[in-house]
Amino acid sequence: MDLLRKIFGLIWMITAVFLAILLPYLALGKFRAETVTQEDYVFWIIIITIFIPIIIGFMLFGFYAFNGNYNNRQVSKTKTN
Amino acid sequence: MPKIVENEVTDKKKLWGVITASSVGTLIEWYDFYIFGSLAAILSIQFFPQDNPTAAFLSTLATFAAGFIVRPFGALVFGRLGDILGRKYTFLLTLILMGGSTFAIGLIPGYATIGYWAPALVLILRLVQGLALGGEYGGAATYVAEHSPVNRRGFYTSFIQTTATLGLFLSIGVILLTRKLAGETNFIAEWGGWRIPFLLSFFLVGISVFIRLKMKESPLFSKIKAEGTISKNPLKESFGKKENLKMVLLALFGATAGQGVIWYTGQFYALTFMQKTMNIEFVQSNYIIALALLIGTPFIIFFGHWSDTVGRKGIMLTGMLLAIILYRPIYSQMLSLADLKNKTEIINQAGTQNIKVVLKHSNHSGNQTILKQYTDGTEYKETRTQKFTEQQKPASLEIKKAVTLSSGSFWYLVLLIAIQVIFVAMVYGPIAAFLVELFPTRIRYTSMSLPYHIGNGVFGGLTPFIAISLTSISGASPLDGLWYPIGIASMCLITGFLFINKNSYTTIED
Repeated sequence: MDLLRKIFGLIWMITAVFLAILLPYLALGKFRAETVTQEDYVFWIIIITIFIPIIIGFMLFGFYAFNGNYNNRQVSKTKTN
Repeated sequence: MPKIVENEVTDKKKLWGVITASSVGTLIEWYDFYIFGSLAAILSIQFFPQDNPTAAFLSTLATFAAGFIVRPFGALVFGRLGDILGRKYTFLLTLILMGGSTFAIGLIPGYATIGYWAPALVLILRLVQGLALGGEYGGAATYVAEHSPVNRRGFYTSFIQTTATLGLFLSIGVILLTRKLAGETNFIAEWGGWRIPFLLSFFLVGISVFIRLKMKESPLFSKIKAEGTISKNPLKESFGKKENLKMVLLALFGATAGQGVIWYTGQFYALTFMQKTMNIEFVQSNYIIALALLIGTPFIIFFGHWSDTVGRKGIMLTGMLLAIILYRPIYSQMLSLADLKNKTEIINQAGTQNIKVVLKHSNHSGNQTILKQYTDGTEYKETRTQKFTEQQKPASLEIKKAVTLSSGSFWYLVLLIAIQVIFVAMVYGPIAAFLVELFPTRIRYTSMSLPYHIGNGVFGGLTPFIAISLTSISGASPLDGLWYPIGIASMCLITGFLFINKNSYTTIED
């Protein structure tokens, strides 16, 4: 299971990089189209603004998973009250 | 059976008071948030005339920014306050902000009277609504969970989970009733009946504030306050410390993102799909959704309750798995129910179709209505509106299609959507308890609010837009829009299955 977690951590990191490139590429494609409307600009700018931090979070999640931070043996007690 | 560690846990009668106070307030917040969406067409006429580019720009901002940017931001702002000042006063504040802004929207004169001030003020108030909604849910879920015995947390918090659906019901009910009482013309006028659902919020929120004021602070928060262990900087502690940040990320990518897309697919995309792709008649499609929600919503409480016995993870992940496997077969069945190619048309005695032509040259337009009936009881109505230029040359052609299903197909469609609502119940019923248990009391409000609102507001809220975009790609089939919820739910299922691991973190009852 720990090996699977590591593999998926790597996959999520690669996916995050791919998405970080894909989103601005799609937005630019839309902005360059002849049929572009004002609504497209607002929509895509909001999408990129909100998704880039989420993608960074996804990459970080993959990084933690790859480093075994979610593995059984890495148990670290979160401070509870 | 985990022992009940919080001896301050409230007695049953008092606990139901806590649930009622929290649920009524959250329901009203959802009601306030939904009436804006449900009355979008009228608000657009009154505040955002589409032929004016600035007003149209503000309209787009109001639509997207309130859900996608401001909601998560509200989760941070009010989450922080809730972890410092307490749950009670924070979610009281969100309720007042939501009610106040909704009431104020009902008082703003239209664009025709005050020009750009109208869309600008509505935009600001809509953003306040988004901010308040971002702060409400985490507070209500935390407040109820912190009053509940550990072994019944799933059951008691599931009542908070039903409020989103009930808020939608209430908003549709109030709008339909007001419309009926006021009449169509009086309803859509500048100072017409459409304002009543907004103004009504003042009284609804007033009642809820009155009830909530009587409630005491959550026992767990009071305890850490008395001990002096309240977090001084919940944002830094939630997102700056790796041990907590990794759980926030797990909550988002292992649970709430998948839950968000399943929630929106079952309750909103299903309606969009019926109206836009299947061309089901407007009123009939709303009845179908309403009945499916009525059948499916009690299952939220059932699965919340069951999660106390069998665990949260198994139920949520099973809901995601079923959605991933069954979405395409379900939507394929839905599509076939309204596919006129599979039906036999009744030809009238003259051997021709029923065609009604009405020409309105005064408006530079002509209408043509085609009515068809089928042997299974299905009816089809197509209205073509041809607009003409001043020189009487054809300009735009608008075609409206409306399929009214037979009784048998109607109930089969209700069943297909109710199944989707049951998937929603599986992922949504236990999730409040799941999130609450993932984080310690001192940073719970902040830590659970953000992943919830990103999962629901962003991943879920985008479902209709992305799904429709996918189907509009050249060569795409009507079912291709489902790849978005299927893809996100699959990512979440894998993440949840592999990484939600009770051995790698401790929860409050451990």
